[in-house]
Amino acid sequence: MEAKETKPIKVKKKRNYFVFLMLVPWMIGFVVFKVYPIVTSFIYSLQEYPILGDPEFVGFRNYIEIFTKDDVFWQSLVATLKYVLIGTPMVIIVSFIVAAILNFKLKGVNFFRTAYYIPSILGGNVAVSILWTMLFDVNGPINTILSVFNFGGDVAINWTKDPTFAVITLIILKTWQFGSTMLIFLSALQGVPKSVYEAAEIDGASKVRQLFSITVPIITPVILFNMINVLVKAFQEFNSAYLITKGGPNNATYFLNLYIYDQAFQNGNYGYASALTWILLAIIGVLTIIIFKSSDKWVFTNDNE
Amino acid sequence: MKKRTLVSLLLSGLLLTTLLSGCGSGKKEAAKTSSKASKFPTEDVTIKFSWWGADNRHEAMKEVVKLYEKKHPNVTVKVEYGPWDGWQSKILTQLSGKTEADVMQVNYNWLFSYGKGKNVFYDLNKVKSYLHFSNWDAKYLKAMQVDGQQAAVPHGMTGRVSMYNEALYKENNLELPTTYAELEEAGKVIGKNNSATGKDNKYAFQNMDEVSKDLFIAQMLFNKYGKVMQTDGKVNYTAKQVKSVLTEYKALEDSGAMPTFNQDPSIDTNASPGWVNGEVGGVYEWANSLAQWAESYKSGAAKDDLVVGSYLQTSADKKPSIYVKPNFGYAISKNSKHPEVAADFINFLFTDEGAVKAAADSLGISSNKVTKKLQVKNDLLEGVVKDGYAMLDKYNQTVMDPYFEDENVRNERYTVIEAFRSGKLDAAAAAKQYVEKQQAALDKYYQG
Repeated sequence: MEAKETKPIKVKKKRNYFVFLMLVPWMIGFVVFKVYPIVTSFIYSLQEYPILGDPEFVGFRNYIEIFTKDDVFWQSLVATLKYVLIGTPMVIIVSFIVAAILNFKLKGVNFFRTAYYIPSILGGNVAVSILWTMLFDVNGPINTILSVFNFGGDVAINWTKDPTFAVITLIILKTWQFGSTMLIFLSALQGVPKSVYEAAEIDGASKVRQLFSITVPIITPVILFNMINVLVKAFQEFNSAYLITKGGPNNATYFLNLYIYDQAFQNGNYGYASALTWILLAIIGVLTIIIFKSSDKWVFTNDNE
Repeated sequence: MKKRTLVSLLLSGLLLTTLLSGCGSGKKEAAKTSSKASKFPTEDVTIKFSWWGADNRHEAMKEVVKLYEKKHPNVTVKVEYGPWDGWQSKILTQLSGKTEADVMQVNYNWLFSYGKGKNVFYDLNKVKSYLHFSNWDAKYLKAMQVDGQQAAVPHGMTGRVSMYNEALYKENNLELPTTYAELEEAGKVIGKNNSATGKDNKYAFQNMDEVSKDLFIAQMLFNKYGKVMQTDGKVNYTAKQVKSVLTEYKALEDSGAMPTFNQDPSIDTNASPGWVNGEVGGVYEWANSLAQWAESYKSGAAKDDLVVGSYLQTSADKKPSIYVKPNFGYAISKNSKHPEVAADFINFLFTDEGAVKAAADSLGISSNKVTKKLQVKNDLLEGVVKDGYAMLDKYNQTVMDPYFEDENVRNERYTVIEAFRSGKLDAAAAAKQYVEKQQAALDKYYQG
């Protein structure tokens, strides 16, 4: 039988301009609220720009001053890095553990899922800050509880006055607000096929082995996503330091975002604040790139197979 | 391709039009404002009035606004208010975006710091027919003149005074201190059972927040050396002089007279439990703010315990000069469409008997002659606020340099004081930085 020669189907390319029209509002929003501020902030960073005065172009003077003369910037950078590099793994680990627990079929599990999610809705608001200030007061409940484990002796950790503990206090607050990260982990865990676990059980793999040989590898793309998300947000932390420690003591919690805010809106130095913003952006960008690059080695995707 | 280019052009055009029209409208309005004749309008007018303060001031000011609207039915006064915390950044942002209120309560240092020596508010000379400058002492008006313009009019002058919880002193068989040495001795008695961070600690005195600590130390320097902090952009103290005073301040803390860095409470306002419960022997506060401290002390139920004390002296025979400043002023926005209504409203605040009565003691004692007369006539000056102002009048007063409280300058002092109190810096290093960093911040204003 002679095969009939089939003509390739011609797909008529028709541009749908209605789609462009629908995109217009978004594009306007994107240009006005994203592109324009980004571009202008870079221009400001090259200017001496008092908030109520006339800007004057000064080239890279703000950047040079930040790196060579500004002690507070370095203190602020160290504080931010401590917060990010300790806080990010803490949030990832805690939210993963809680998600793993809540993945079991427990009685009332939905209540616990909601309860653990609530702190992340509250965010770093004023009420939470007051609560935290009271809990971590030197005579507050946290020290009272710790005293129980101190064989009757009083524990008098000055959580918000001691430079080391002040950062830890804010990291604990961040960790407490693990809800959204936990939720993403939970949905990833629920996506792991049960058949894989059943096969592993038949082969005699323990629960711990299953966790590290099945669960973790399968959800590494989600770990990557959460890690970058948490990292970027940690770099942008503002509320807790502003409301609880006011950046102190001795600038131990004076995160870059708070320093930028003070420079811009307390001291009225728009240009300097913009330069600081671009430095923060560069730091976040570099760290994100490093994590993305490293992900080739530890994130399992279909492409790796 | 052509169509795509057309769409892009349209989008760009739309965007540019939006942006440029935004820029254009501001200029048009500004031009219109400056050309307005100063006549009081008869058509419907809306102005905005903003202030900061505690709840008592909010309620009082809203009442004043109602009275003004009743008197001028064609004028609507919108209000905007909040606590001091964060208020300065709010106003700065509004000024930058030209969205500020027509009438603003302004802090003394804003007038100079915001424009770096140039007036960023409406020149009140243009509406002086509404304001009656003769109601103020010339030196008080001068304190709010910037670059030859009247940037604001002062409500009143104020200064930090010591208010004591006399009951705590009596309980310990102590007289109120008159010298720093006596305060130190009182601390040893009142704080004899204090622990490093104990919640039941008692102190002879407490500088609650960083402003209080800064001003207390500044007054110590003034007392000891007879010089003010800065003159024409120059810090007047040597590192050696500052070191001496910082050491004396630390001695007050170490003796138990005042809390150390580690003993400082988490809440550093008039709601601080130590103050509310009567465990603090005294605070150093603005005379016009004393009422709110009296209200929070034992929930306002023991006001008789509170006494305004004399200024601490370095020695019994050396009466100090003291710092005062305008407690705040009223300014008009340069972008106001109705500066004459705004000026009339300010005048109403000062001269209308109903308004002065409604404001009661929420604003402190005024330096405007008419207002003060009305305050006296209506017995509005009472309690610790009255005593506080009476205490200020007993001393030779020096108006604080406008850059004393500038954020950039003051922050340098705060940072050093905190580093010293927490032990990060010793007295010598702290004193050196206190002078040098403050000078560097001042140089940015004076040397450009």
